[in-house]
Amino acid sequence: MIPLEFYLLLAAALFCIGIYGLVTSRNVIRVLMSIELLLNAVNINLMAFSNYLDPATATGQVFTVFVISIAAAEAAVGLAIVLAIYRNRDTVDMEEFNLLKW
Amino acid sequence: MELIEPIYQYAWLVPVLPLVGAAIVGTGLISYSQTTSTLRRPSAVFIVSLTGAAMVLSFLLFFSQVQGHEVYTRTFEWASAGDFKLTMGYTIDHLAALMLVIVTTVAFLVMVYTDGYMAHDPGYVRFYAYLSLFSSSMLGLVISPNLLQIYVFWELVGMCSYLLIGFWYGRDGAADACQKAFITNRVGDFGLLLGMLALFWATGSFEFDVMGERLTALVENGSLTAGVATIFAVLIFLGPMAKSAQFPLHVWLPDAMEGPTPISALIHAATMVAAGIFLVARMFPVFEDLPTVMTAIAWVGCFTAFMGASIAITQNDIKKGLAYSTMSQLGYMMLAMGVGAYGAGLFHLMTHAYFKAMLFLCSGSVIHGMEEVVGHDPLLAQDMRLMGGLRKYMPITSATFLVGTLAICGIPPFAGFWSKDEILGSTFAVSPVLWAIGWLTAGITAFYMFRMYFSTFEGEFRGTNKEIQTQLKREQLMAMGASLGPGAMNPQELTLDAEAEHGEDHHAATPHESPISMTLPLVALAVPSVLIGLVGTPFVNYFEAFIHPPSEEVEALLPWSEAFAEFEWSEFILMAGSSVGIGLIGISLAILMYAQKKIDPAAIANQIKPLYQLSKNKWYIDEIYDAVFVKGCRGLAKQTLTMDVRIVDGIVNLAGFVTLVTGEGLKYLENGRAQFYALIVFGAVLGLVLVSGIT
Amino acid sequence: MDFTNLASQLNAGIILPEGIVVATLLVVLVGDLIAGRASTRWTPYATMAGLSLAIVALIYQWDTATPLSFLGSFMGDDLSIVFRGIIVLSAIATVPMSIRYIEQSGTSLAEFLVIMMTATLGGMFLSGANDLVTIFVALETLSISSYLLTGYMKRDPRSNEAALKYLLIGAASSAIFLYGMSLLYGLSGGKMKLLEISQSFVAADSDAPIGIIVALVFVIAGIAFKIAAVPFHQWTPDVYEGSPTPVVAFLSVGSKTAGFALAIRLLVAVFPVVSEQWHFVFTALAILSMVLGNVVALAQTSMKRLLAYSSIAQAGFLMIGLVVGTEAGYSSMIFYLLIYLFMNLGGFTCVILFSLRTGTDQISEYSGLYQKDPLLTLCLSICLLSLGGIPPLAGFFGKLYIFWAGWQAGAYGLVLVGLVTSVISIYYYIRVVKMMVVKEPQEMSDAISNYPEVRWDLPGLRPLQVSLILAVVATSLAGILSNPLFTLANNSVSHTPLLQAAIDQQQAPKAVVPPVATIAPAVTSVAQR
Repeated sequence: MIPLEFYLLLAAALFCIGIYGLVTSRNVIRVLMSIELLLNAVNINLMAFSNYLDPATATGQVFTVFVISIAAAEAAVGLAIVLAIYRNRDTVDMEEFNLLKW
Repeated sequence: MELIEPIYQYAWLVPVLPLVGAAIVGTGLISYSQTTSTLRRPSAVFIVSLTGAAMVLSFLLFFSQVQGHEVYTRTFEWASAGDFKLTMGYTIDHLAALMLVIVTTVAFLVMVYTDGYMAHDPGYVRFYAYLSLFSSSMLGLVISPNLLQIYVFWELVGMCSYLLIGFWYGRDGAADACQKAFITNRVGDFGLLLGMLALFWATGSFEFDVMGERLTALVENGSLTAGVATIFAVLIFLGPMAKSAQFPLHVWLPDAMEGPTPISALIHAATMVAAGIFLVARMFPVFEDLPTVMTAIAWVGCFTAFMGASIAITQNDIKKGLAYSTMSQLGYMMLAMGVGAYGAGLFHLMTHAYFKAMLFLCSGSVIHGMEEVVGHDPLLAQDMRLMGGLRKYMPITSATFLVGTLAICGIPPFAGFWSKDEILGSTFAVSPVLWAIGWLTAGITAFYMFRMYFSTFEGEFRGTNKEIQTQLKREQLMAMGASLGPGAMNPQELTLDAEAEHGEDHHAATPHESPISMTLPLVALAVPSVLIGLVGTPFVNYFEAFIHPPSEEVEALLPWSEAFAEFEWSEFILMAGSSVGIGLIGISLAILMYAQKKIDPAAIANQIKPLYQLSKNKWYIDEIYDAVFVKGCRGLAKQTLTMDVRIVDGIVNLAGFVTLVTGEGLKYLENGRAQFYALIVFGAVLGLVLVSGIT
Repeated sequence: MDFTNLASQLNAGIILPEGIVVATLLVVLVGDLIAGRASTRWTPYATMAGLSLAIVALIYQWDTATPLSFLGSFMGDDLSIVFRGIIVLSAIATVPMSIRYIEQSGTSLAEFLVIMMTATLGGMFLSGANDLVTIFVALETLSISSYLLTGYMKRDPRSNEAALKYLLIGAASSAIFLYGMSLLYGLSGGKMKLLEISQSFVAADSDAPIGIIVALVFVIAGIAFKIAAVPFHQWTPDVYEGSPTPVVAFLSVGSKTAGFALAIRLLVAVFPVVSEQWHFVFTALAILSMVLGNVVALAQTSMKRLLAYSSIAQAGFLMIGLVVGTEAGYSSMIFYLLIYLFMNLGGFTCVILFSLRTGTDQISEYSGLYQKDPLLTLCLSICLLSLGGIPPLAGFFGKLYIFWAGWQAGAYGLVLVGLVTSVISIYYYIRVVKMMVVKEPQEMSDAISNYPEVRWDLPGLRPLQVSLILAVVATSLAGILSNPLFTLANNSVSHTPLLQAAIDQQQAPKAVVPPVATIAPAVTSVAQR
């Protein structure tokens, strides 16, 4: 059986990749995708813990389901906002969105 | 008695009712300025009826107190933290009930009077709102159960007074006067605040009797020296000194006459200035065991009385004359407090409130009449040299003014006689010197009051005399040029303005009696001015039995017949006779000089020129203050400024500058890029993990 | 297990207020679908009525005997009731502000109200959430609705941008928060309920292991984002500037309150083992927030940005109460939140009114307002001065209480920083007030010289006026007559077993018995009932 630590390391790595993508991507869609990565890293964490520590009640798996559904909602809202902003500004480049500053 | 309890429970309504009126009308003025300003009559009726309701309530409270209802106090905890507790609430005792009645009746009558006096003023509604606000604060002050709450209302009445003196803020005089009043009062209030906090520090309480008891105990067991206690009490006394216009903080009161006359009557004669006396009365438990303070109070009062009277002799402005007379009378009250004649002082407060309010309202009525002849120029309308012979035109005003004059001169059986006589009698028992000054002052009072009466109402009407008018104007210009210096105002402009104004006005040749809404309050006030003194006759002193210091027990009153029999007539006749005597001498002098013109006042003035100038220039107090405090402060300020600019200011500015620059700099961290923000979030998380993991 | 037994175990009555909000939400949504545009006439009032009803329901639940519901997932104790009450009140106050504002922008009002009620619902659940899943779902309900509200002005690129930034930072920080929660789940060996987690930490009895600290910091990141504490604050000014102003008003009070509710419950319940660390982290956040919020506010030119930094700074003051952790500390925090509700919403109402009449939020455009609109000037001045803590307004008493509580508890450094920075804050509040009352006509700004005639009879302005007056009256009087609010705040703290246990622990830090052991039986016995 694969040790628990491996899953946790995978999740941590995925989380870091997500952070990297979030900070560096210029395309808004990619930024949104990076957020999905962050959330999925958490999901891996939860599933692993659930299977190893709490197999009887499996609350971690339930939690995962909630996280997935909320991630979907968040993505939907995010894409809607991107759509609106694209209509107004004709761009999805993060560098362009700095009307509000200082 | 069952009926009376609810009245006590709802006694808080007395100050709240006028407050509600002020709040509603004030809100209206702020949000619907135009509409509310046009609703003149409804606003006035609304506010006057609320004040009337407060008056009725006050009378009910007063009567139940007279019938021997015990002191009623209701408090609630306002703020508490551990053992530190502040309570607010109200207390109805004899003193409070009496003051409630005085304040509400005078306020009510003044408000009725205002309707006539301010009928043509664009600020009519605003004036009512202020009046109502003032009444509310004053009533709140009167029923305050502790010093802290008194202080709150004390500041409120001060603020109202400031607003009302500066009511005609367009006039330079009014704007200056209200600032002067404000600053002078700040000096006193600062002392009061310091004293209050010091007393709280020493005694741990704001309640009057608790304070007094504990302070006495502290002084007795030696944990507080009498000197320190005296300093505290003197600091407290600074408050009443400023509010009641006692020397040396009296300078604001005469200038305060720039406000509309009803204000002068209500605030600067009958109620607010009496707040100082009231506070001394409330603080009596603290003061009475400190003989030094009592002596100081007596001397300040006595000196103020004399000084006020001596200045009043030479004033030509009718309101200024009355103002100095008010100052002098307040001095009497302070004197009474100082010599321990608690009841006598408050008795004089009450009688004075009525007759002085009436005198001021009369002067307002006169000014109102004069304005028809000489136009809306306070310089001309208030100068007695332009009046004379008004009795023919204004019979009611002149009759009531005469009543007031007789009352203030102490002619029996008018109100002032009884109260002033009682003060002088008590003073004699303590210090004959003080008595002598007070006695002399009584004579001067009679003289200047009758001078005022004769030059206003008797003789022939001088209002249309252009010569005097131009002379007055010239005097004012000279005074302005001299005191304000260059640049303050171009004198020629002033003349031109006045000329232009004249061209447009259509003046009547003779003044007329004021409308009924103005004369009615005069008549109403004349009644107590004549009769109220009878409750405090030395034979059977109902007043003394009702109002006495908390520490004193008063023996039961005897019925009239026995009282007459047991009364020490010889002493009374000696004292009363002497004071009436000097009063009569003063009156006779005034008759000789101003009614029959047997003696020429100008000749006398020339003979004792230095004294005349001293009085005319108000003992040069204003000039001295200007030289010492205003110029001195400016000089000092300049000195400090140079220091300040270089060092202190430098540091402060630097701190401010650094803050601002930091703000400007940090602002640019907010560069508007979401990913940078996210980076900071992640960085912060990492940093916090590291820092808190290591520690 | 039969149905009635299950129902009684669920104890669903506790969430009656939330149920009322959901019902109102559905009524407004369906009503708008049926009636169309015409529904704007009644939907705001229906919303306010529904929310007020929720307040009534909350009042009835005060001191309920069985606060635990849904098998321990939701805690309806007095603490949560106060916080839920504040959130609902802020939503009620936002409704009248939004009517005219949304109408003028030509978007649908009913949808706005529905989303706002959803956000309110999220905040309410968050205040009482007692296990990780509930916390997360409630938090996201609040967040996602807030993103939608922020971007509600679809045609306005600034609103779009604000929404996008809010969403990105919000999602990132909630991902961090979630990661922290997953660690908690793992470290506690598969527990979801807050108290069970802390019990298992105590049982493990390791001295502040690094895993718990990592989880703690990650969780704090999520909370700090919600309450806009420096350095997790950077979204605040941008989002406040770009969003519709009523939304900002709601975010600055409702959302922030929910964040504080979460902070108290999560930190106090889960992290007694690392209590030193979380106090340290929050002290740092509080100092940074007070300093940075107040200092940067000095350099602002837009009123909304100014208020954004002001709200950051206010959060810093509030955190003092949380950090000291005494009874007075918690209740001073609740007391200040109650007062903050009135003064901040009052201030925002004024800003909205000004921008409705002039169409701008620049501070320089306020100059000379006194001559055209004295009422607005008065109200805004009162609210700003209260925020600055000038006596005798309510804000002064709030600050006084917080600083006093801090001083009593020995947090001298925090209190001193608070005092110094609140002096700085007075400067920028007064600057606005001074600008409004300048006398000379030539100093009047363009917006003011073209100021429209003051009219209150336009549709939607009446409720605005009423709420403005109410807020201003409350701001002026709540300090002087503070006893009811004071008692409320005190009771909510003293009636909450969770906080009492934490306070006991605070007072006896050397005690061997960990606090969870003492209160856990009490709570579980409540659950079993």
